[in-house]
Amino acid sequence: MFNSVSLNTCAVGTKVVSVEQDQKLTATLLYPSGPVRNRPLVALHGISRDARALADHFAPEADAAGRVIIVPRFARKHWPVFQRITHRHRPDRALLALVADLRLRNVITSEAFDLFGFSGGAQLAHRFAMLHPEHVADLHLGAAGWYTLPDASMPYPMGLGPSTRGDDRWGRRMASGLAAYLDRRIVLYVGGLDDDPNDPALRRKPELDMAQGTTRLVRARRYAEAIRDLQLKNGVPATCALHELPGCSHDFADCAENGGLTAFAARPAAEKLN
Amino acid sequence: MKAIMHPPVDMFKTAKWAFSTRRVNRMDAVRMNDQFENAQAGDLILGRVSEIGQHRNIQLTSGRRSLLYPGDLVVLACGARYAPDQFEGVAKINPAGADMLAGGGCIGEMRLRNERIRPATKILPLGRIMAKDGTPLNLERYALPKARIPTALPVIVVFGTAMNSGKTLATARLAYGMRRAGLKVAALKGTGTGAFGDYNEYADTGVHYVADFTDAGMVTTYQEPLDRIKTGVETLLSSAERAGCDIAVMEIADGLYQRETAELLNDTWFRTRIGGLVFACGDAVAASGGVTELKRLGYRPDVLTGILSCSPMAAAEARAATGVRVVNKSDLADPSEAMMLARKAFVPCALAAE
Repeated sequence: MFNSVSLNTCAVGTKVVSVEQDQKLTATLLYPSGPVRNRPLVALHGISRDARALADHFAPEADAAGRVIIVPRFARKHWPVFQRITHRHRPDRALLALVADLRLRNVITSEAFDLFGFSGGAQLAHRFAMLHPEHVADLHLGAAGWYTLPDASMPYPMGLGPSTRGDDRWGRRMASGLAAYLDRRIVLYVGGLDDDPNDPALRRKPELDMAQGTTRLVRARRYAEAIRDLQLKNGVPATCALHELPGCSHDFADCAENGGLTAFAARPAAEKLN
Repeated sequence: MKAIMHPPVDMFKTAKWAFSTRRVNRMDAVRMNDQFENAQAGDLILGRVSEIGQHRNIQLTSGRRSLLYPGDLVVLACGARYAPDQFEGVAKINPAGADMLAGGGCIGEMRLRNERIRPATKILPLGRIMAKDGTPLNLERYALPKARIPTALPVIVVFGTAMNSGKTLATARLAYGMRRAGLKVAALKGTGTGAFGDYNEYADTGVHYVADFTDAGMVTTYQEPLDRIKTGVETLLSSAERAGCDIAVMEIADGLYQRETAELLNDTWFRTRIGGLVFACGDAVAASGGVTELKRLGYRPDVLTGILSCSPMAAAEARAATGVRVVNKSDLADPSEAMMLARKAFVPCALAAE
């Protein structure tokens, strides 16, 4: 199924891995120039699929944090949908296959990796972590458009209840890992100016607006609050935090350059800028 | 001991050794005797094919089938067999002519035969194979080491209504799904008749470790004492644990009413040892009957699967009748579904019916 693998060196310390499963997934690997001190970070792009921008902005952080940073690219040709996990679209399985391959290559040697996503990538990141929490250590969610809430009263993918078509598989699967999902550091980031309810890239539906709010900023606040509440109810540390990046819009480069997003996400807690 | 009629070593070299003998060091086979009345389950028997019947092939230790011809020399293990769609037989060797009870390498005496199949392939026993010191070579001698301390490896068991209800496929697909989720998985067969079909199907999934009861020294588990079967199960789990596995999926052969299967289900140690139960069945009525019987024994399956799951209508009937989810082979092979079952198994004693 996913035994066709190629490895091409494209620059010093940077490699591209392609893993073929149901669809092809490529990834850029950013190696620190010095010794590896921290577990790897997987960074997921948004719907612009601009993995290069993520690689460019995370490259200095690989050195600074002493960690391998893995930047997959979900090409439109193979992945018309990658933000959500459905029976037709399985970006989670592609990521698992990529991770398995990187383990065989000794790129990933830790039990779990940190996971970052921006916009659509943050949507996938939290859904992947809910489905496969055993693989994820710290979770960093940058400006997700909307979230799958750990709430069985709402249909999947808004919540964990049966979908509107009556399929209860995804909700069950995520619910079974929920305790493990909550038991980690979950950090949300959103630009202070990411508050446009009319952004055409933002998913708007009455039930979604009612449950999560009408802007990414509000949705991030509500999600962080919901997760903190659930963490407390589950008796685990309420680690969920929200960093609002002042003056930043819904633009990855802007958040990275002016909001310190990549440094926040890539540097382990003890090495944070502030 | 009676005289040896023929220098046997060349015969041992020429013979086709059955899959069930795969752990045997053939260098140990140097003598024979014809005291067949003392033959025990697991003893190695050299025989000559005298008449081709139901089994036209023998499963070799190499993992391939070999056509059988009259006159072929074969090495099989004496054993009983329980297979409602083929034979029932006992671990007894008739010097005048024995029965090949299974293509994986089981020789004994047929007692009952399914009327839809041919009579057993006949084997003329030539001798019980002995070591240099005169002790009979028995599979037990080559078994994996027994567990010294109780194992803690989480295990999900796969039961079914009968032969061919889909247990092996369910075992393989669930093991595959867990492997895809990043776990080191053991695919094990706890009871049944030694054969490479199931073993190879497990191995093809790429899981970390594969073994069956023949690795624990039994050619079949039929008519073996429960304690020996439990020791075999624990031996397999111990071996998988030593191999670094995170979890095991173990198939239990035949249906719930089969003697050894029923004994295992009734056993307190077994009940507390398993962390998940998958039940394979063919239709909704079978599902309902199986779930009811399992409930009587104090179990509730986590999921139903098997032939039943091929039909959405049958699956819906079964779910409505039992309240248990039905999953198909694709679901089991899905890392997210497999992990859901695995997480439950990581919690000990999670299975007891409420």
